[in-house]
Amino acid sequence: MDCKEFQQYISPLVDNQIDENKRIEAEKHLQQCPSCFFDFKVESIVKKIVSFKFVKTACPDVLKKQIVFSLVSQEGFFERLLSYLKIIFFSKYLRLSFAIGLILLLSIIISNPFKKDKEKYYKEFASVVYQNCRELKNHNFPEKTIFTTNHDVVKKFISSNGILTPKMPNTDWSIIAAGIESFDKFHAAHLLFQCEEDTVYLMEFDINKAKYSGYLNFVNEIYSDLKSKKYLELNFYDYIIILRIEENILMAYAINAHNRHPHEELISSLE
Amino acid sequence: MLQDSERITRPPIENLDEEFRKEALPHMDSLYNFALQLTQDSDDAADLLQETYIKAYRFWDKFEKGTNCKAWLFRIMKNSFINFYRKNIKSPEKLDYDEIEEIYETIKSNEQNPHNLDREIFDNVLDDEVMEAIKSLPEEFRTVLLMCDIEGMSYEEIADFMDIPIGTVRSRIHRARKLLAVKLYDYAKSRGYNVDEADKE
Ligand SMILES: [Zn+2]
Ligand SMILES: [Zn+2]
Repeated sequence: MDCKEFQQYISPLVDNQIDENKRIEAEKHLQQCPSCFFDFKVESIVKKIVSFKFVKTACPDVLKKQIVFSLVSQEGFFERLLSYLKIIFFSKYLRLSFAIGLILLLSIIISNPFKKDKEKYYKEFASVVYQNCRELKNHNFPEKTIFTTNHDVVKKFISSNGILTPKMPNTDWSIIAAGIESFDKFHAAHLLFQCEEDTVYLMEFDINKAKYSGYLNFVNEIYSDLKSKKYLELNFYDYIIILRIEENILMAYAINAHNRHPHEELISSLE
Repeated sequence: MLQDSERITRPPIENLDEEFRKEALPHMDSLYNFALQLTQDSDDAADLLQETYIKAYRFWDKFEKGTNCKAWLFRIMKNSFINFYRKNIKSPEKLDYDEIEEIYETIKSNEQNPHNLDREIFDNVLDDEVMEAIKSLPEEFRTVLLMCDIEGMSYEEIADFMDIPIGTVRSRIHRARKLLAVKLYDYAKSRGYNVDEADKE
């Protein structure tokens, strides 16, 4: 093997992607040729540096959740389409009139799947709040979490982590834990409260930063909806989700639907 | 507003196909990194990642069970990137490879002993500088290099994934490393490491 040929095999040699015969030839050349040895060594060093010093950025949890939810709503869409199709093909009235079926199908396609409407934003957001709530209740806290019963400490912690003016519920609940999740310039606080026997989850973030999150469309919707109301209530699975905006902070509470007491307490504090 | 009839009765993640959950979701971190490398922007990377997963989920029945799922996802991402994102990205400045070759030869004639390079220069280079140097590589070099060094893909897998001959994979990796060598050497020098000192040792 001469220098010219060897140059082609430097990378395969460094990466161990060379067949046995060529490797023996290449290594023989390496021992005889200081110039090629230098090149080989430099490539090995660069590979070592890249492998050791390249910092992988973890995919933010918020984004992971958002993607899972978007996939689930995709599935919802297909299931829905399928069930509409079933209605069309199994209803004897519609089967009789293919034209009506076609029109119905078209109207579904036009109105439903491709329009990301208000309801969908609400549902997506509710599922995020719900999932977060479950995770905190299962003791999966964000990396940055403090465990304290002191409201002032919590406020300071949140405001020093990207949400400058944190809001607290105006109830007698005591705080259990507060965590911060950051995604680029977007920060969300996750709080867990104790109300007698029950726990209440609260997520809050600065709506002015919503453009850095996946929630911008949702925030725009809710912002206009909350102009005329003090709060909004959604049912999601076995939870009640209560949404409210105080100044520039969006607060999303999740309360188990069976826990009447904290629910009543929260509502009366908001009225 | 949500109606009672529309309440979702299972937690969201349990609604996902189980195979998809086990096979595809664990690669999210790798794919996010790849998306960052391609787009150089965290918002675009997030969009690209989401789009990739939606497509993958939609075409999940097209995935051949038992083959490399990560490579399959990478391919979807690359195609989405080419179709929708590349047009938004400014093309990196044309690179004069001959010039790099010349600089490299100068370093080579100055340095004689490659072991000095390893100990004194490259071991001292900062993580940020490494990231910066990688970022400065032309995209087609960067992608191939990271597939190889970070994702541990074989040349064959990369060739298949990028739709390029294996010889091209080889030469891109070789050139990418030479470019990086020149960059990193430059960083080390500008940070005050005295190259002549190392020679005397
Ligand atoms: Zn040689
Ligand atoms: Zn109480």
